[in-house]
Amino acid sequence: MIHLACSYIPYEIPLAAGIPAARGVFEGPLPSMEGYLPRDFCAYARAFIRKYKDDDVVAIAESCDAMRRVYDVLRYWNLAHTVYFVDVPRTHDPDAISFYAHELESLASRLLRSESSPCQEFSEKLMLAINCMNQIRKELSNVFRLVSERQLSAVKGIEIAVNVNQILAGFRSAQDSSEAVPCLTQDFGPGVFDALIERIKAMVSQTVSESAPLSQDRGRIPVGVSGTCLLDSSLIECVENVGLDVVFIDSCLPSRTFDFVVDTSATSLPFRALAEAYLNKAPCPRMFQGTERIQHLHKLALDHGAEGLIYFAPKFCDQAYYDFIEIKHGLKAKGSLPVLLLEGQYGSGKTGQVLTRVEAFREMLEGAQILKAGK
Amino acid sequence: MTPGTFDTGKSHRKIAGETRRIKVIRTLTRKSWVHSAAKLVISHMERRGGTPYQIDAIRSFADDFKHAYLKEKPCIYTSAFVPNELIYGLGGVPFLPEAASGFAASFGFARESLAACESLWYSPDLCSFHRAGVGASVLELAPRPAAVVVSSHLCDGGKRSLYQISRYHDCPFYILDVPYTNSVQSLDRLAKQIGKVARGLEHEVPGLSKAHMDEAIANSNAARSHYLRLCNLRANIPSPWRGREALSYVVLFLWSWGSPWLTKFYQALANHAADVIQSGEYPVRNERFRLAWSNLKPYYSPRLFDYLEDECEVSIAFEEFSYMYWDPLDARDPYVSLAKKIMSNPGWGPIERRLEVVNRIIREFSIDGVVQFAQWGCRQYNGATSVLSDYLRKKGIPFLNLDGDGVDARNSGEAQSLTRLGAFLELMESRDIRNSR
Repeated sequence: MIHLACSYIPYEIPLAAGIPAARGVFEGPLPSMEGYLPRDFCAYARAFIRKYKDDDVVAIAESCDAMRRVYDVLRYWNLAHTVYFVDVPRTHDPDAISFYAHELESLASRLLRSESSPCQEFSEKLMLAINCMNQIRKELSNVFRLVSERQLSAVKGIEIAVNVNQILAGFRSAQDSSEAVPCLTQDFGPGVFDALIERIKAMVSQTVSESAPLSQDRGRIPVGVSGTCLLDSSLIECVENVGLDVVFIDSCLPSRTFDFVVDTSATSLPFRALAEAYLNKAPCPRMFQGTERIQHLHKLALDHGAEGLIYFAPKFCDQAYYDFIEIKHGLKAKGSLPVLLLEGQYGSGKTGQVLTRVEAFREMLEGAQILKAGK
Repeated sequence: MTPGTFDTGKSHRKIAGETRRIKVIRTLTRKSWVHSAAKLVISHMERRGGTPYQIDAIRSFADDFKHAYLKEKPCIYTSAFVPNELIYGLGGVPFLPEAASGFAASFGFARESLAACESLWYSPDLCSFHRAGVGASVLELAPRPAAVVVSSHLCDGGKRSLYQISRYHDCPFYILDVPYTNSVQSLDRLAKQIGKVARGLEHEVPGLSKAHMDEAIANSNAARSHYLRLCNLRANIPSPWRGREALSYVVLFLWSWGSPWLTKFYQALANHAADVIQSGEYPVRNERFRLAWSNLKPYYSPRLFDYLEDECEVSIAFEEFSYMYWDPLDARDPYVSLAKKIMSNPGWGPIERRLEVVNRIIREFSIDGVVQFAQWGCRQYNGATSVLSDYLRKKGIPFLNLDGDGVDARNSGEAQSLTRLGAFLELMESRDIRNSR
């Protein structure tokens, strides 16, 4: 099993190597692991500190100072047997794309435990994995289209995204093998991912059909949620319970993990295609693309009719603290989308303080609606 | 105004709530007679027998500040680990807001800068060196930047805060995206980026040209030679230089490579250290212990160091930030040389690189114990505390992680720090650390 620490690390590479992979999704830092990182570190970084199984692999990206320290701590204290560092550029110019393509190729070699570049056979499998992930991403895009159309609650949307992650974690190309061992010797034909895609489609369709219908109360106000890492769905639940409808979530899980397509039509080089797609997806606050982020959020708000934005910053996340300021000023310059900053840890949506602030935000948005109607 | 830049419809200075004192200082820094007067004062200090290295340090900053505030040369903001040979080599003058925050704290201006920054929604959980830098820039206590250059390695706050500053001032922003792994491809990518930034600056900032690059590289190499001599002298027991001063002059180490003044400064400082050793007039004469200091220090109060150096007779023999980590630069291939310099930083890459340098400092400077000043909000250094602590424990070197804040006095408990330092020294005493090693 390979644990991915960032939305910029492609699922496709472990999938092509036949290794189950999943983005790290946690319920919070483990109390027994508190001493390894200081308390003034973001909860996501601290949650990554745990004892992994001997055959597990952890892939840490160059996301921020905190995740670099996670990489050091996991190795130094032997908390994980194998820890890879993925050097994700902070820019997306052609040089950065070439560099990242090479970095991804090197990740594949390490996963395949090979000292040379991955062979042609692996490239073919990688193309299959890319197509598979494109279909999975399409399924999830459809789910979040329903969320934006207010036919499905955002909490359900997140639940589906987390379930997809779990199904990918359970992916086996080798029979009964849970190890992070490449399975290239297995029969790995074009249909290898069909069962996986079908399973995901069935789960999505079942979850959507079993969802309770959303309140059609016209008084509910549509809002968006943005930030670096949402940590868990408690905040979304709180926002929905207060009477706001979440119509988009700009966070590393779900949207920045799934809301893009890897285009393989322009190149026959799969690593290049991956590098290009991942570095050009909706930017994370770690990238120096403030203007693009503001435009992206402004467009999301316009397209989905959001009347406000809730920005969630995990406590002690420097990237979010700086990003919020830029988003707040940038959106103000483009119009007057009100922005609420909420800071917190895992489970912060269950706290009275957050509830009070979200209620106050709703009242403010209602006031703005009344004023608008009066004009 | 370019899309995405900040426009709140109201001056940031007004939002930040500038005081009368700030207005006066801002006005004075931009008056040529003030800089002329400063020059006279420095000359007077020199005639009155001021310490040569201190005079050179003041001259170095006075010279850069004059060029920057009076717009005699383009002022380029850089983050702490950008090789400023690039800026001097282009004929510009660097300004490091995070390093200048230390000055602001020393002179008692940090409070206003921090308040200004927080009024613009910056979280108090961010590192105060960066918050004060943003605040000083917004209040225009700092000179106006013609462009901003940051490197992506080591510190998220540094690059992000400077990115915001470039937005406030609507000026070009360049990032050197430093690869993590040391390889031929990484070096090539970084060298290309440095070349591209140099060309971009030449193109976008009037008055910059790489005609001065050879001179800046030569200055840097000359300063490096004197600096290495100083480091050798600092290995002397007892220590020939006060650690509190060394920690103040770390700012020059971060700022002035490529400046002609740095060569003079390190030459004078090395001469001073040699004189101290020859005369036996050591700042801490009966040196009980020798400490290595990691990260920076509280710049607003000298009490910790009065206690350590004067009351307890403990020397700070060397600082992790002062470690010389790069090879001489090659003027024939400046961008590759500067790329190598950036990538040699021991704080970058896997933690083993930093541990190796700490180990060398312990060996080369006969260190008895290590104190890490755990700057509030510094994820880069504090994140390695458990690793560093264990590494030193296995080597039998006592380690103290001292929580505090270098700029924001509100985050520091000075009495608590003194108590912890006292306990740490008692522990070293009781273990008879010096004789047991």
